[in-house]
Amino acid sequence: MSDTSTLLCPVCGKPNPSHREVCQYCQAPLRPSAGTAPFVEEPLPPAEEPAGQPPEEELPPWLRELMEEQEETVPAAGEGEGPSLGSRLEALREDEGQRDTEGEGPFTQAWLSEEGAAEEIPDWLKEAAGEALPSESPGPFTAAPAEEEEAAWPEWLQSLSEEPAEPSPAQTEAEAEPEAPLALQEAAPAEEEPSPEPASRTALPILAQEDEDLALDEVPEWLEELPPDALTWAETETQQEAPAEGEGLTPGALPGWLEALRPMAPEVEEEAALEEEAEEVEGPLAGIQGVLPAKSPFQPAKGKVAPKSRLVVSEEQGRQVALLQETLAQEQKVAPVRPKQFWEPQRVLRMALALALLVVVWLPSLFGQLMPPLPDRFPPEMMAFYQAVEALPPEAPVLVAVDYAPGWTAEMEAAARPVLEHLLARQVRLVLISTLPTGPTLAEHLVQGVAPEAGYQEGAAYLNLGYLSGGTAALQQFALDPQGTVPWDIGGRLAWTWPPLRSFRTLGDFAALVIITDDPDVGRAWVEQVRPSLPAQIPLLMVLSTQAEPLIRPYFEGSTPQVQGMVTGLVGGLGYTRLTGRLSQGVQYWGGFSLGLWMAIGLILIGGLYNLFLGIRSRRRSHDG
Amino acid sequence: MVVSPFQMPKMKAPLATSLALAVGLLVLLGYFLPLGPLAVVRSLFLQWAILLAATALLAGVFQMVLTHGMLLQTQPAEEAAYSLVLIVGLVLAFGLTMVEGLGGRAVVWMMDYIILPTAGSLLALLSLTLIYASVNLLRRRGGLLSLLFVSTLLLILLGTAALPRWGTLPLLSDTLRPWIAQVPAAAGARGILLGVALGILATALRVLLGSDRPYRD
Repeated sequence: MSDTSTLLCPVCGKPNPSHREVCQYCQAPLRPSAGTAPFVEEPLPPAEEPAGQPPEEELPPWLRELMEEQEETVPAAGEGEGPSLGSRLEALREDEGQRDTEGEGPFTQAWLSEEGAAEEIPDWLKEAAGEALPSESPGPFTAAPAEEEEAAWPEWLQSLSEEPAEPSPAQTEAEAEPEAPLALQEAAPAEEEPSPEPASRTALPILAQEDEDLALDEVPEWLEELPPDALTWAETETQQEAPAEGEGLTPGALPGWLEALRPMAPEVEEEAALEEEAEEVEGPLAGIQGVLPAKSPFQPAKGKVAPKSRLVVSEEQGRQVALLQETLAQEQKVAPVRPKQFWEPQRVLRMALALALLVVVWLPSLFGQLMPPLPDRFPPEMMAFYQAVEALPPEAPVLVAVDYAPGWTAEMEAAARPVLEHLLARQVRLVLISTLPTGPTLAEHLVQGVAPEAGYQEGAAYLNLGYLSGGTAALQQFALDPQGTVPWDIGGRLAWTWPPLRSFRTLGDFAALVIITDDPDVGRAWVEQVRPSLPAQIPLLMVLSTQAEPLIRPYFEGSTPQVQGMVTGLVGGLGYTRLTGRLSQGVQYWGGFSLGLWMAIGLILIGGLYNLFLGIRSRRRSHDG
Repeated sequence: MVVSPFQMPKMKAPLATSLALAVGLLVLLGYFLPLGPLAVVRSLFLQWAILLAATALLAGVFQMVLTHGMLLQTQPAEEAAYSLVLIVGLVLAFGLTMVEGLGGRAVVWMMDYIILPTAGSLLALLSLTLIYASVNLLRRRGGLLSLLFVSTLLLILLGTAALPRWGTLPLLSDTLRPWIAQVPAAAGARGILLGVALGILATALRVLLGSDRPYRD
């Protein structure tokens, strides 16, 4: 999950995404780095006790040699020249610790104004000293408190300035307290109240290194001539000039508003403490703890900073949050399921409609006088169909495709039976085929229903080629090679050995093709895939359902018709019945069909007007409301 | 989740695409140039398509039996009963047809007294549903288009229905209804046919060019 909080820039105060290390507006670092920590006011935890003197074998050889030379030369030099260098270094070290406690570096104005020292100090350093470093921003040459300084010093360096039998740091502190010089005594409270400048800790190794250099006979003469108490005096004077706590802004203290914006980075502080205690493992500083890290003090911290920014929610937003919570709580509630009632108004209405339709459709069967007269309209497509059948020679084979679903059987048989009766009356040979799996059985049902008394037998009076799988591709192949595509009939006999088909090679050998379908796509597939393979004089006739007629009609009404005749639906079948003069099955449907249509017209008209009135009133009410 | 036993490892895309493109182009060439080898290859591929379609139908039936067989074991008793009825009916119809043939008495009986009445009843429900929807249409959507739709529907029905003793209505049945069916309806149907033809052409080109590969999944 991504962190969506923001960090406020401590410089410009603008919000920044939490993943940014520097401000996107002013490029200031958003998080305090381990080396600088300019906004970290809390003192760092006290440094741990030194881990002890590093083993001698860990020191580089050149450093061990220097240590041995120092042990030999320092006591000799200290005997005849007043205070020894070790004692002076000790005093200097204590003094530096005291200065560090006060937030003051060694190059202070008081120290530089000391007589004797001022003569040997170059002018540029005097000018620099005039701009006294503020205590809240110590320079890199400030020292750590004395105790920590001692802890940070290597053992060999401590041995230069202390007695051979050196006690532990704690014992040294306890024993030196009554006899400590003024600078050390004043530095003692600073150990209990750590300095607000954590950066001074990082400066300690530099001073230690300088002390080491001093011990290597590189101490300048002006420093050797400097009396030890001068530094103590200067430090005391600096402390007296420091403002008392509580008067104005204390060093390192932040205003309240800035404190609220300050990012908290405990991980960064811990990381800084760990880096201080890290021990160098290579190079000339090997074995020394707390040296300055090699990385830049401005390098961003590795650890994630927990932003202290608070989400400010307005009153309006609070209301929206409460509304969202309420909505979510309602979403989790399961609404009780209302049990279905049998006598619901809509359910009753639907049952009433179905009952009314059933009664009306049955009435003509009970009362013959309700039977309307058969339609006397003969559309041109029907007349074309009739004439095409009349033109068929006797005994001519006719291919009949039975491609309708079982649900459409009533309408399709009412339309197709007069046609089949006409074909059988013309003594043509029917060859049945279907592109639907249920088609062969429906074809049998259709033929057996035309003339049940005739007892037509498959394989004798007609031939059923069965199911042609493959859709349009199969129709294409069937048009090219009917014998190879459907070699057997549904009885497993070789279809093309049937006497009327023995001389057949292509579909063009049939006298006519009659497609019986309720699906306009199936009719279109026959027209598109098979019609091009037929000679122009072979008619393609169709018996269609009412729903398929509009999509097939364009093939009949074209300038060069691809469909030569159509009989559509129950009305078309009844019209064909009147043409042939033979009553078929569709006649008994006509009464129920017509009365059912009138019932549907009445329901739609009355119910539609009533609902239209209700709808207008409802919309008007909603508009007024 | 029911795992199909007919799940085949997928063919490598370049091989499948090349095969599909080659077959499609050969059949198309054979359609426009029905000469010797091209006509033979075209006829061969079409015969394979017929065999594959029939095999796919059998595979689909077998898959359906397997699926419902697994549902019998996993579904509650109320829902598993439907699967049981389906499997029993399928086995009976398949077995009887294999024994007696499509013209057998038992097969014709199943068609006359089970399949046809059931399918016809479902279609009759559709007519009832359409009437109910037409009644409620003006209440839910009382716009001009709804009024036009219902008015056209009423005119077609009035031009089709016949009254006892009087027959069909003169003006509506012989003039208005044929005009609606042959002019506006036929115009819309021709537009649909043209759109279908263009869509088929575009789809065929996409398949032949390899930009659309329905055989990939």
